[in-house]
This record gives sequence, structure tokens and C-alpha cells, in this order.
Amino acid sequence: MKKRYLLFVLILIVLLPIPVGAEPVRFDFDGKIAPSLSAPDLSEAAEYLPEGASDELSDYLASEGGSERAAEISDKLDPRYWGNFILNELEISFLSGAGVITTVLGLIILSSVVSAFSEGSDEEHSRAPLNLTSLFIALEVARTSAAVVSTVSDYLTRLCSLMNVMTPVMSALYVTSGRVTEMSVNSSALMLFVTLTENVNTYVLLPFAAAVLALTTASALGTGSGIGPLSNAAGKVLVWIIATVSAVFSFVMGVQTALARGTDSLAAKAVKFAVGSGIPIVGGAMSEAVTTVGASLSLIKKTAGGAAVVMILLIVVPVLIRIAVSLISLSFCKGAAEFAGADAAVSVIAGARTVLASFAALAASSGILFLLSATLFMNSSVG
Amino acid sequence: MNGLLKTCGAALLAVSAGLFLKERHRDLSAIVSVCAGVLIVSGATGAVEQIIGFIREVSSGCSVSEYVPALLKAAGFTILTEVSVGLCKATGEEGLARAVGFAGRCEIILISLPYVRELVGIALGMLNR
Repeated sequence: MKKRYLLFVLILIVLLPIPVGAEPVRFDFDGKIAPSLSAPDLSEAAEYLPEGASDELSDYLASEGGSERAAEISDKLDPRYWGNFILNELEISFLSGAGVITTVLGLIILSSVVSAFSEGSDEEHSRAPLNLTSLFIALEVARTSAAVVSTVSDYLTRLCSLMNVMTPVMSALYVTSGRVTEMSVNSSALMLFVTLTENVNTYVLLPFAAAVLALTTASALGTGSGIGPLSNAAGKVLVWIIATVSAVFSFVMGVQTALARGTDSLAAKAVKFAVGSGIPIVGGAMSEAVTTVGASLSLIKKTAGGAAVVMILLIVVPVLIRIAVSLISLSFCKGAAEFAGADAAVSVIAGARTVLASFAALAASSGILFLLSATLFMNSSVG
Repeated sequence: MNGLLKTCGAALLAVSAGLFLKERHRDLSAIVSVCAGVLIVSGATGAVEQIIGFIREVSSGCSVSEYVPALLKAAGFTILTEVSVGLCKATGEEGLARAVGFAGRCEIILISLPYVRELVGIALGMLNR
């Protein structure tokens, strides 16, 4: 007994001089976490915005720090801001729409005056002024529609480019917050739909618009009378396909994201429990630190997601307003052409309406799906 | 009003002369009808000029002003063709009437060609984007 006691004292004497202390340990993951904890740089994404839209976000891009940017984004998500924005866009679009209406009405009045010279004759050449008026109306409608189609196609390309830039940013923030499954679901669905939108815009809608315009031009020259119903039917099929595909995508993405969120939450809770119970003494503090990091990341995600929502709306809203105003003005033109008996012009106007409706369907469905993904991203959290 | 009275009076005189000459000199009757028709149309050019001037004045500065020259030209060709076809038919020259009608339609199509070219260009432009 005495020997054991003596041995224990000797060991203590040997161990006592050994210095023991605590030093601060810096967790350095080669800078992988640190940049993600700061607000992501979205200036590259802002390059894809149209000119007026990028000016709207100049304050956001100029501000530094998460709280400043969060304040800027919450201002941009205010309904009053969007009310003013929509009114401005309506004012701009209304002027071009009114221009088409006045030109078509002027042509019809002019044609009526000129046609009065040759009234009463059944000869084919006596209908020349009316036929020429139909051609002029067709040309005016084609010019306006081509301008709108060109703008909308450009905007759709910008939207896809914007989502190509935003997807890696969102993926990085998902991964940082431990939402790996949700990241894979969201980014794969997004990339697939972006590719689909680009391809439909370039290889389906633009050739369709050109074909409808060419065929209705032939109709305006009096060489084809059954083209109008054909283009209408093709347009309806196209709109139906776009709407169905986007509805399916939205549903699948929503369901998959919900499932993935559950999986990631379970995994995150398991990690926190393992950290809390596995690491002695400091395990509980580390588990709470993970929650704190998650809260910071939630703020960054809400800010970045909010910026994505604002950018998408800045692109999609002007497109939809412009198409809506063009469709309304074309309705007026169609009524005026029917009243004047310019049947060929009526078929051209109907073709232009079909084309614009198809573009509106693609723009609306793309915008809604991208907004859905940005909203899901904003609402995801850690743990 | 005076001009219209003169025109109607001249037309009635030409019809009367034509009916009178038809029985004795059929050829002369046709010539009288044609000459009367040409004179009457020439007499209406004054009114037509005023109408054209009014249309140009009203449409200047409007978005339709680029279409006015083509439309007026087409109207002029239509009137000329119609009058010529009518006169040819009145003298019994159906073949000549058809030829004049064909020439008139060709000229009118020629007017519309630049606009058709622009329409086709717009369609091709969309296709090439």
C-alpha cells in the first residue's frame, strides 16, 4: 500500500513541471468557408440585366455588408416599388402600341377615301387599293411584332444567362449550409429548364414566328386563305406544351425540394447531435456555433435569393407588359381591319397575336419557375 | 357644281351623238365615245389634283405618310385602267380590254413589290437570329 502511494507521488512529481495551457486555435479551411460567409458578388449577374433594370440595382451593388444589401433588397421587394415600375413600363409600352393603332386606323381611312374612286366596279384591279392597304397593315403589324419578338427573345436570353450565373452562387450557399441534397435537386432542375428555355427560344419560337409571318404575308398577297387557322392551331399547341412542361417542372421541383429538405434536415440534426455528444467539453458550444453560422448563412441566402427574385422580375415584368400591350393594340387593329373588310390584314394580325402569345407563355413560365427556385432557396435554412 | 353640270351635259351630248351615228357610221360612233370619255376624265383631273393635295396635306407628318404615295399611285393606275377597260369594252374590243386590265394589274403589283420585299426581309431576319 505504501509502495503504491509512493509510486503515485513520484508520478505526480514528474508530471507537475510539464507546462499546460490553452492557446487559441484558428480553423482554417484554406479560405473555403470564409468567402462564402460574406455576401456573394452578384455584379456579374447584374451585367445580364437590361440597361434600365441594372440602374435599378445600382444602390444594391454599391452597398457593402449583408445588412445594407438586405435593406436595399427589402426596398426593392416592396409592392409600392413594383407598382411604380409597372406604371412606368405601361407608359413606355403604351406609346408604341398606340403608334400601331393610329397607323392602322389611318391606313384604313386612307384606303376608304382612295377606294371610293373605284367603287361600283367588279374588276379585279379595282380592289387594288384595298389589297394594297391590307399589305401595308400587314407590314406595319409585322414591323411592330418583329420588334417585340426581338426584344422578348433578347430578354429571354438574358434571363437564361442570369440563371446560369445565379445557379453556382446558389449551389455554393446551399453546400455551405449543408443542404447538399437540396442543392443537387434545385441546380439540376434549374440547369435543365434554362437549357430547355434557351433551346425553345432559339430553335422553336423564332423559326415559328418567321414561318407564321412568311405564310401570312403570302395570305396578304391573296395566295393562301387557309393559313390563319393553321397558324392559330400551331400556336395553341405550342402554348399548351410550354404550359404543361413548366407545370410539371414546378411540381417536380417543389416535391423533390421538400423531400431533399427533409433529408438534409435529418442529416444536419444528426451531425449536430454527433458533434454535441461526441466532442467532449466543447461539443455543445460547437453545436451551437453551427446553428449561429446557419443563421448568418440564412441572412446571406435571403439577401442573395431576394436579389435573384428582383433581377428575374426586372427582366420578366417588362417583357410581359410589352407583350400584353402589343396584344391589346393588335386586337384593336384586328377589329378595325375586319370593319374595313381587309381580310388579308386580319389573318396577318391573327398570326402576329399567335406568335406573341407563344412568347408570352415561354416568358411567363420561365419567370415563374425561376422565381420558384429562388423562393425555395430563400426559404431553406440550416438544421 | 358648274363643272359637274358641264361634264354631265357633255356626256349626254356624246351619248346622243353616238346613238345617232351608230346606225349610219358605226366606227365614228365608237371614236366619239372614246374621245368623249377621254375629255371627261381629263376634265376631272382638276378635282383629282385637289383631292390628292388634300390627302397629302392631311397625312404629312403622320405615321401613314410613307404609304400615301404608293396608295395614290395605285389609285391612279386603278382609275386609268378602269376607264381604259371600260372604253375598250364599249367599243367591243374585249381582247384589248383584257390586255389593258392585265397591264394595270402588273403595274399595281410592281408598286407593292418593295413592301413585299421588306416583309420577307423581316421574316428572314427573325429566322437568322
